[in-house]
Amino acid sequence: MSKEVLGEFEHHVLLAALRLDDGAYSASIVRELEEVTGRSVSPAAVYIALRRLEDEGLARSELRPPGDRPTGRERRYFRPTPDGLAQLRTSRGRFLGLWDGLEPVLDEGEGR
Amino acid sequence: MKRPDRRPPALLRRLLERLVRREDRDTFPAELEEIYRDRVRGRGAIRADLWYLRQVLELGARRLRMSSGALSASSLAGGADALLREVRHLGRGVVRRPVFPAVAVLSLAIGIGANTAVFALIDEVMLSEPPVERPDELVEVYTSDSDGQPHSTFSYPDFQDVAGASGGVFEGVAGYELVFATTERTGAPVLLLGEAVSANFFELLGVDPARGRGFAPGEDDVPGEGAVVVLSHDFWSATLDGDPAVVGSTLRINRRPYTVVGVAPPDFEGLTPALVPDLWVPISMVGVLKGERLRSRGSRSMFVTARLAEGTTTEAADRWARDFSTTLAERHPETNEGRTMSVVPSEDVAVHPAADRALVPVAFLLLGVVGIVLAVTCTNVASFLLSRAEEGRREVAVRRALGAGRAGLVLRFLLQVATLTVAGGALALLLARASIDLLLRFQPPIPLPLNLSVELDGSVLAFTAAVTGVATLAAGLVPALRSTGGDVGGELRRSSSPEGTGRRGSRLRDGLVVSQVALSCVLLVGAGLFVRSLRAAGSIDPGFYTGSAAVLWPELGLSGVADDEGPAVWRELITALESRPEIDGVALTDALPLGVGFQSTAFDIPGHASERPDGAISVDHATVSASFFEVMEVDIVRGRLFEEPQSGAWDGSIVVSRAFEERYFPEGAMGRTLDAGSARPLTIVGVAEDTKVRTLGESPRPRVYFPMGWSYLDAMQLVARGDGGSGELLGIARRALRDARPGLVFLEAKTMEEHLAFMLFAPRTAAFLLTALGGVALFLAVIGLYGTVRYAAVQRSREMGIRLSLGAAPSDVRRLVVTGGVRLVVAGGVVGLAISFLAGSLLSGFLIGVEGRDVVTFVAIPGLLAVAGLIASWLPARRATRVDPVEVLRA
Repeated sequence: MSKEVLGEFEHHVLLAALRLDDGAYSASIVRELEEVTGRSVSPAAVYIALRRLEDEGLARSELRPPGDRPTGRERRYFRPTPDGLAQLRTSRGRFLGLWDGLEPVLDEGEGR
Repeated sequence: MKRPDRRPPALLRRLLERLVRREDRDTFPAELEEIYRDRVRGRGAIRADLWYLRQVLELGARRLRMSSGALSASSLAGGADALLREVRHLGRGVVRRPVFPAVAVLSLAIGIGANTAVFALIDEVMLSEPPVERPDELVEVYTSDSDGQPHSTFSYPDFQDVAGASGGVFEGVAGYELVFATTERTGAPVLLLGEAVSANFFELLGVDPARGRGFAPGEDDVPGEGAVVVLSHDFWSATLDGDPAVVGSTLRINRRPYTVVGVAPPDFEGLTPALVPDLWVPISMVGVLKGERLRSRGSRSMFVTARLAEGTTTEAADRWARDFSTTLAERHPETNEGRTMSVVPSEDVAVHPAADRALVPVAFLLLGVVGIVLAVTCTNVASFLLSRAEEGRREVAVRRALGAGRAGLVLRFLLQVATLTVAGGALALLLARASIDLLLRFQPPIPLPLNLSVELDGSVLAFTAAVTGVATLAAGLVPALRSTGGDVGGELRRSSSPEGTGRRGSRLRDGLVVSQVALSCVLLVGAGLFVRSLRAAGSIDPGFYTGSAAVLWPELGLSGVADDEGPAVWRELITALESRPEIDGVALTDALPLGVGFQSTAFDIPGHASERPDGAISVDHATVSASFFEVMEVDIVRGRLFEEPQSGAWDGSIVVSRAFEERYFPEGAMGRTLDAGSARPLTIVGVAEDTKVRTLGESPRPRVYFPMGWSYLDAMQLVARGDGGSGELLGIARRALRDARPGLVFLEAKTMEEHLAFMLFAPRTAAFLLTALGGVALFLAVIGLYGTVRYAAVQRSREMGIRLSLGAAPSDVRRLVVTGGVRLVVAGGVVGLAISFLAGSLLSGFLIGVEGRDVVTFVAIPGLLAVAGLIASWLPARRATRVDPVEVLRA
């Protein structure tokens, strides 16, 4: 995976991490993705994606106990780095640019 | 009380822990378990377990894909990852110091390759089985001959009797004999090797022809009938260009048309190793092909093979055969009296029981020699590994302090050694292939075409792999154990200068060098013995003319000459040769001394009897022209020469050798008579000087000379001597004979030197091999010695520095180093000589004119070792004196 293009799945994982703010760890990301996208997600795939994102410098992690249980078992929490955010903005720009002007087609398909 | 939450299966959990990164081992598995618990609640325990398994597998698959693609990931427990790292680490080491690995791989290749080559040869000649059905059921049937030799050939009538009466013990009996055949392709007759076989030959062996068929039952019934032929696959594809219409076509063999009925499968090369027939004909055609009477019970040239009937053992078959021999002897006392048949499992016979007796010791000798070379190689590699191990002790100690197990470290070390031995083994296969091809080019000079196809097949590869494994352990185990043993703390505390390493290491290295020198000494003594044996053999006087001459062996029967024309044709040929100005003399004989094979017949000698039932004595004989004695320079010491009988009127006169007279008629052989089962008694008219008959090393052998013409022979050797070179004479003689008789077929046409080379072939080959291998071993030992002496000098460099600074002369320092080296050579030489001395008697059987404990060799070889040792020690000694005392003391 080069720094140029984020794969779709990595994309989703990074977005989910962004959504979860401080609480993004592998299990919560899995749940978030499943909830929002409606598909079942493999935690193993999420784990690999998180590690890759960190290796590429698009996310960073830290070990800390969960916010609501300061004495509990530590988890590894992830957040996007500025580079990661930049990638997300770029991707979003590309996507929206391509989608621009296509709303009527999509709306028509939905029978609106 | 809340029930504890269900956990995923422990095995899977542990597996998962191995698959994640080390820093994640405490976090991700727990997080995954969270989701697992969700699933247990939502979908049930079993489905959750299955889901967990899928997660573990997916993680494993993704990890594998990751590590094989990008190498940027830091290594986890992936085994392939670690291996890759090891290999790259080794590669870096090799690039930095390429000399040692290169030398090690090369010497391992030589050591392993020699073993592979010898094994491949032995496998092909002695161990491999022909591609027949159920070879364990096949047996060879032999009959004893008039000399009492138990494993001799059958006559056709005897074969038929055995085949007919053995239904209880044998499922089937087949016979085969070698024949020479000629075909005409482009005018000139081509000599081929063929086999005349019983009609059930292919069927009994379970050999399916590649095209057409084998022989049909009854095709061998009537002598002279059944002109059909099965071709060998090689002959068909090479000589007949793989003609697809071959079946049904006609092939002229010995000027008669034969119908081709089939082509043998590609892998079937007959039953005798190295003798590959070009074609097979029914045994009934033997009479036509060989001009012999097939029905004669006394004419024995058939080999017999049989398949045991179900439930019959070899022992039972053997018993039956012996009983049946008695029956045959009663029925036909004049030919079968005193002859016993025996049965031997085909798997126990490599070539022939008599030949095997000679081959087996040779095989063991060869294996022993190459085994020694391998031992020297491994010792060499081991001693270098030891010095490397010394250097790496600190690193090993650190690893052990950090918790690495000794077994793992030993394995790691052996893995490094294995990369050397495996590389050596791979190279060895190439070397073996090349040296086998080279060796097979040296065909012994005999009239039969030896055809050995030595392949590096499965068993040879397996053998090579095993030898490589042995070499890895032999070379690597001791250094591995030495480098990983010892007290870890002590190792870490020890200074890292070369002197800090122990003296135990140097003693072991010294021991290795001594053993290398000893082993090389043994090989070199063997080489020396064989070289001296070769020289002795070369200088033995065979008792006949060995100068410039051509030896030609026409076969009149194959050349289309009828028996009644024969004698006139011989005279014609002799005249044709004598008419050439370059040729001084022509001799004829049917058994030129020191040739392939020999012939002997039973004689009734008055006053002497053997243990045979008829009391007859077996004596070597030859039929010769009257000119033989003059041309071959064999003196008649008493009496006179015989006259060649013209048109069958022979008076029974013979000439005997001096040894014959001394043994049987010590009071004088002149005028004495003997019987040889022929119609008339034989009278001795002359005594000739002895010649070597069968081997160069034999003591004088009794021999009887018959005059040419006493009985018609259709194949005789013509010796044409002259002043010019033998090669020239050969060309002239061949042309003269072909001019006189176009279409003349020769079994052989060679120079006298080539004829004599047959006797010298074995000692020459042995001397060459042993010298080459001994030289290799010595070279390796010298390298080993050089390395050890240099290493010792480096270790003592501090001491040398002190000595030099205290005023010692450089020559003193040099002497110190050299003495150390020489001491090792002396020790090795003494051990080597002792072993050679003890083993000397084993070699005596192979040597000619030289004892197994030959003094000259036992003095010369140590001399050679001393010189080698001095050279190997001198070079490091010189370097030692160039040490700067100040530098060394400062370090």
